[in-house]
Amino acid sequence: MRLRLALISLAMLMPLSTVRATEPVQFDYMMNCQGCHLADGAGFPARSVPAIKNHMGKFLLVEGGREFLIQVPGSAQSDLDNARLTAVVNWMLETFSANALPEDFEPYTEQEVAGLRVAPLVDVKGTRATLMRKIALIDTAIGTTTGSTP
Amino acid sequence: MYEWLDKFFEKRTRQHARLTSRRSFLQKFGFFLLGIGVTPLLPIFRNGAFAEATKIPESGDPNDCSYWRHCAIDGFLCGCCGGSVKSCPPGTVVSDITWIGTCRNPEDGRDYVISYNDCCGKSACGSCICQRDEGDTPIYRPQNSNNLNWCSGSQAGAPYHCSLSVVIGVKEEVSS
Repeated sequence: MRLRLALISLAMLMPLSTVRATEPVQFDYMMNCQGCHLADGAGFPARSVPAIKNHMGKFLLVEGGREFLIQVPGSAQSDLDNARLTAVVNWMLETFSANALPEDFEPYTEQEVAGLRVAPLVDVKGTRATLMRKIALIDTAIGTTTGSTP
Repeated sequence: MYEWLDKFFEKRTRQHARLTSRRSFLQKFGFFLLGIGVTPLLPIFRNGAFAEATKIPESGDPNDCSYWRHCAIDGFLCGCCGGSVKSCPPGTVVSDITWIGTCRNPEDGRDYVISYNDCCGKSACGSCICQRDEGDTPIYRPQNSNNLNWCSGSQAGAPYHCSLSVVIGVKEEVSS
């Protein structure tokens, strides 16, 4: 009995002996995005850092939104190569915004990201404002059709 | 009144002696200690508790600029200002928005992700200035420039007091 207890305690302590590595895709998020968008994607809307949490996926519901998520300077101008940027953006959508994803969500492919990335946005703020208006329209439409449950 | 109290405690003490063994306290205390040790292993979501939950091999003095975690710091070390390497001094608020980089731990040779959160809301601390700036980029690449007042991105606003070096992750070792 005592031996078994000792073995169980040992087995439970084992994972503590080495530091487990962060998932590579999360590591890329930490190094390139988390400083401003924060660990849970909450951002800091009061200081113009957009919230990703429960929101990012809504961009995929409106025309131009899918392109915007890659063309926005934080994505397009990051130090990540195309493969890693694709992985991080897909991971962010699924991790922070799974509830706001369209039902027919298809993850970004590396080719798609590569193509969008070389076409920079001229008016970032204006494009974003237009997309946010479209998203707001959809939000209210959903609200009226479902009887806006709280 | 006192007689009643006396009797009450005598009765309780005798009952206690009759029902428990002499070493039961040791046994219970042992379980309690074991429980303290095991509780952090329970699968509870602890956002940002990486450094507390894992055992990082340590060396050096956290209040010395040469300490490994400070490799990309630019500011006053909070440990010299009434806080610690991962907690703000009393009277200041941590800035959520921050500069993140990696530092190599000399003990295990691995790259740890460090969050250099500023502590804000009081005037500059003035002790233990440390400016190592490894991996810092010019201000025109603001994503990787540490020469910003990160307190602008906190609830407390601009007054900068000191900087933390919090471990939030560790890079996967690339097998060669």
